[in-house]
Amino acid sequence: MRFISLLATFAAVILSIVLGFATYNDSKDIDRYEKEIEIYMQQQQSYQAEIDIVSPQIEEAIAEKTVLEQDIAAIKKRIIYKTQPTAFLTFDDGTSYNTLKILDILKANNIKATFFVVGTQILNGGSASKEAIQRIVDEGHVLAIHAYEHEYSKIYSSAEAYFEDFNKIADLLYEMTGFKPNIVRLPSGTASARSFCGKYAGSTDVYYDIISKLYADGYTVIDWNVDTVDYTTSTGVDKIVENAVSGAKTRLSREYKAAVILMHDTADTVSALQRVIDGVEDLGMGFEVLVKGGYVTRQIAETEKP
Amino acid sequence: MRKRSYIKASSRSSSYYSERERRGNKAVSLVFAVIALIAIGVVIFMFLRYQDISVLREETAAKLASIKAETESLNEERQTKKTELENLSSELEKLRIEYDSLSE
Repeated sequence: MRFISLLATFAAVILSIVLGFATYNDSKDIDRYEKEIEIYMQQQQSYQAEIDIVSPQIEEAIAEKTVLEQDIAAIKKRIIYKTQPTAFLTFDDGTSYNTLKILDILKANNIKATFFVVGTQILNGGSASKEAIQRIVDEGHVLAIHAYEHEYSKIYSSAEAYFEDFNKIADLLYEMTGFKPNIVRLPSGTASARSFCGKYAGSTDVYYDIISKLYADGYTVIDWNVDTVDYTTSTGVDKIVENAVSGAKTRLSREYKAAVILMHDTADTVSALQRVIDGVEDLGMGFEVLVKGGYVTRQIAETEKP
Repeated sequence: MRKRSYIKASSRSSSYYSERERRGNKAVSLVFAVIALIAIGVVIFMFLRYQDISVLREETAAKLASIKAETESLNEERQTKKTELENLSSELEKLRIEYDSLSE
């Protein structure tokens, strides 16, 4: 009995020593692991801090790259017009039954054009106006914003009044087509718009408020550099054709051989259009649509108050 | 007779001592047994403690492995982002040069 007790005690002592040693080793390992964990966590904090610094820099760089690429593409696009004579047929104040006829002529000639439409005209023009909007989109033309109500005294009375009108036409086109156009032509063009702002809002600053906000919101404002004067019936079909073709011809001697031809949604324009197309083609000009980042002509170049 | 009584007395004394000795031995054995039991108790306690520490060690090792993997992944992400930024900076430099040359 005593021997067994002694043996058990001896074995217990040996086992205790072994277990104590193993426990001590494990404890040391745990301490080592915890220290390593602390080091890794510090590294993680340092890496995360670097990532937090670099990530916004990457975002900024990507944004700058996008803008630069767009600007370069726009410059390259414009450079093309130094050697490639191009006409941009533009039709203001639609849509109506006349627009359908204009679309037929364009389709027969396989030409695409840009339509700056007016909201009240679309709503008051019945099914033909709505059909024209759909055809403009379906047939690959460019739908662009002109105004909801073409009333200078109203839309140029303040920047708020302008954007109230602007949002109405943008929303209407969005409802009808599912997208908001990004090309804009101010009613009467930028030069007159500035004068009207001075007259109806009391300050030409309102014009700069309008145009700078349009650009800040991602829109491109485009005027024209060839006026057919088709908005008055006194001009007549022959004169419309002459204005268009001679105006386009003058552009051929300019640095940029690009003619943005202003026409309207009138019966005389419909009558003149085929001859305008033929005359411009005879000048060796091709036809394109106005796009954001493409060719831009404005009577007032600045988009910020000088 | 006297001798017999001596023998009787002696045998009584011998039996008395062996009884004491046996009791003494029993007590010592008991003490030994108690010590052995205490030692076994200590072993059991140490074994349980060892088990706890061993489990804790495994858990800490697993936590370390996980944090190490997370750190490596974060380091890779950091390296990737740094490389991306370097590439973007170099692309931007080229684009700025192209833009300037086109704008002239």
